[in-house]
Amino acid sequence: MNYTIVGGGIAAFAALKAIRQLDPHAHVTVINEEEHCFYYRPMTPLVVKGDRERDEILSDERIPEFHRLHDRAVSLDTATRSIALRQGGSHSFERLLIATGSSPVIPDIPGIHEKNIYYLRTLTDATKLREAAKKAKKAVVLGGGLVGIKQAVALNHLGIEVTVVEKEACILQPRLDREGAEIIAGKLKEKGIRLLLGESITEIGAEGRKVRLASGETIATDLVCIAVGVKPNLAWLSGSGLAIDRALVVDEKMETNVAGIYAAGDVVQSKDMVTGKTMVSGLWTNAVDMGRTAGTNMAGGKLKYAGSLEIMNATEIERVAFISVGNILAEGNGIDIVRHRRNNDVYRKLIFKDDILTGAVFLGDVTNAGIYTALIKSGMPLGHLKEKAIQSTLNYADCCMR
Amino acid sequence: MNRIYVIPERCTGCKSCELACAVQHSKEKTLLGAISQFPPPQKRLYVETAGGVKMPILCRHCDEAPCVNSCITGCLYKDDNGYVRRKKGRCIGCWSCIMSCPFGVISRDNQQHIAVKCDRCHKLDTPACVNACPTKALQLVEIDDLSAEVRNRVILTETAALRATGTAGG
Repeated sequence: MNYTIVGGGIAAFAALKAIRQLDPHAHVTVINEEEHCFYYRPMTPLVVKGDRERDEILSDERIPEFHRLHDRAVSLDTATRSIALRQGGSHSFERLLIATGSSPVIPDIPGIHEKNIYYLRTLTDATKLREAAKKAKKAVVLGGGLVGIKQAVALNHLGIEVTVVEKEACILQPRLDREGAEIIAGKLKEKGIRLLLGESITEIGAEGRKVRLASGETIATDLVCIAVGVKPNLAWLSGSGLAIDRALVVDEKMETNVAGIYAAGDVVQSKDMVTGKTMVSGLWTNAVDMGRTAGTNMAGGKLKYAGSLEIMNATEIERVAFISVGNILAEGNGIDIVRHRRNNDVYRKLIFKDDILTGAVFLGDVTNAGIYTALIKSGMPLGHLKEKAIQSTLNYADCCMR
Repeated sequence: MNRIYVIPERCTGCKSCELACAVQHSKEKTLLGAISQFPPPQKRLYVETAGGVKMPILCRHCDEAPCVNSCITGCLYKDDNGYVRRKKGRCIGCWSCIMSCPFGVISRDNQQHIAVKCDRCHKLDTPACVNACPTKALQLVEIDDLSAEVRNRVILTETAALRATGTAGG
C-alpha cells in the first residue's frame, strides 16, 4: 500500500509511526514545505530564548523510513486521487492523511505587513526571531495567550524591554482561570514585563518600530510579535469536496467523508470529552492521539478516537508550574467549584458537576495531576472519593479500591 | 520480557521499596550515601493506602504510554525492552507527563528542574524495589507466565461460579 501524508508536524509523525508499525514495508510519502520535518514545535520559544539550539528540538528518534517531498500541496482532487504541488506536477495517492496543521492568524491592523513583525509558529520563525532579538532593545507582543507570554518571557530573558498587549482583562485565556492567571501575571511584572490588559493595537508604523494603542498611547519598539491565535490550514482544500465545518469533519476513525482520506491534528474539528462541544484543538497531546488513530486505521488496524480535551495544558512560566485540564472556566447552576489557595504561589481549583470531576487547575504544586486528568476524561461519579479529591489526598490506590 | 507485578494482599506498607528506590537513584547507591546526599535522592514509586489496603504504586511502562505521547520535547521514549525512560538533557520541565500519567507516578526534581520517574533500574537484572520487598508483594514476572497465571485464575473462578449455579457440565 502507498500512503501519503501532507504535513510534517506531530500528528503526521504519530501517523507515520503507527503506519510503519502495522505495515513495515509500506511506502510512505511525506509532503511538507517547511525547512524542517518532525520537530518539537512547543519548544520553539526556547530557541528564541537561547535555552536550546535549533538541532536540539529536532526529533532524535529513530524515524521510520519515508520519502519526503519538500513541496507544498496546493490542491486536492479526490476523483483522480491526486495532489497538485506548488513546484508543478502532481502526486497520486492511495491512502492520504491530511495533517497540514495551522498558521498564525494575521490580525487586520494597519501596518501589519510592515518590516520587523514576527510570528512564532515554525522552527524557522524561531531562529528568525532569535536573530532579530539579538539586536533589539524593546519589543511589543500582541496577544497574552500561551504563545505570546512564552515569547515575552523569552525576550525578557534576553534583556529586552517587553510590553504585552492583550485585549482581554486577563492573560492566558482560556488556558488558565483568572486567579491562576493573576499569579502568573504578578511574576511577569516582577520580571519587568509590562502587561497592558484590555488593550489593543490600532496601528503599526515606522517599519514596525512604532505601535499605536487603542488608548492613544504610542510605543516605540524594535520589533513586534503577533500571537493572536492560529487558524487551520484549509485553503488548499477548497473545492475538494471534503466536508469542512469549522475545520475538516472526520469520524471516529479520523476518516473524512471521502473513503481512504484521513485527517488529524489542528486541521480537524473534534468533540470535547467533557463539554461535548465541537471545537478545533491545537494541542500537542490531542494531535498525537489523532495521528496515531488515523495511521492505525489507514494501515488496516482498528482504533477509535475517544475525543479531545479543549483545555489540557501543562507548562511552567517564570518558575511557576501549572496544569489545567477540562472545563476550567465553568460556572453556574449545578457547578461546584472548590478553590484552595495554599499560599501566594500555590493554588488549586477543582470543578465538579455533582460528584463528577469536570475540570482542574493545579498551580505551583502539580503532584498527581494526571490522576485528576484521568478522572475528568472518564466522567466517572466519584462518590466518597470526591472528598479525598478536595482534600488532595486522592491517589491511584483509591481509584483501584473504589 | 518481564514486568514488575504488584500483589497488594502481601504489602505491609513497610516502604522498603521506596527506600531502596531512593538509594538506587542516589549518587553513591548506598544507604549512608543516600541519607547524607543533598538534595536527597528521590524515590520513583509510592506506597499508598486505600480502604485499608496498602500497595506500592509504580510506573507500568505502558504500551501506549500517555506520558510518552504527551512529551513535547522527545525526552520520554520507550527503549528496546519496552521501558519508558528519559533521554538525558532533553527534559525542560513542562510537566506534560505529570498531567497525563493516570497513575500519578511522575514527580518533579525541583533542583534539576526535570521530571523524575521509574527507569525500571534498567542496568540491573532485578529492580531495587523488587529486591528490597520482604514479603514479595513486588515480583518480577515474565509476561508470558503472568498471562498464563491470570488466564488460569480467571478460568478457575469462572468455572467455580458456573458450578455453583449448576450450569457447568461436570
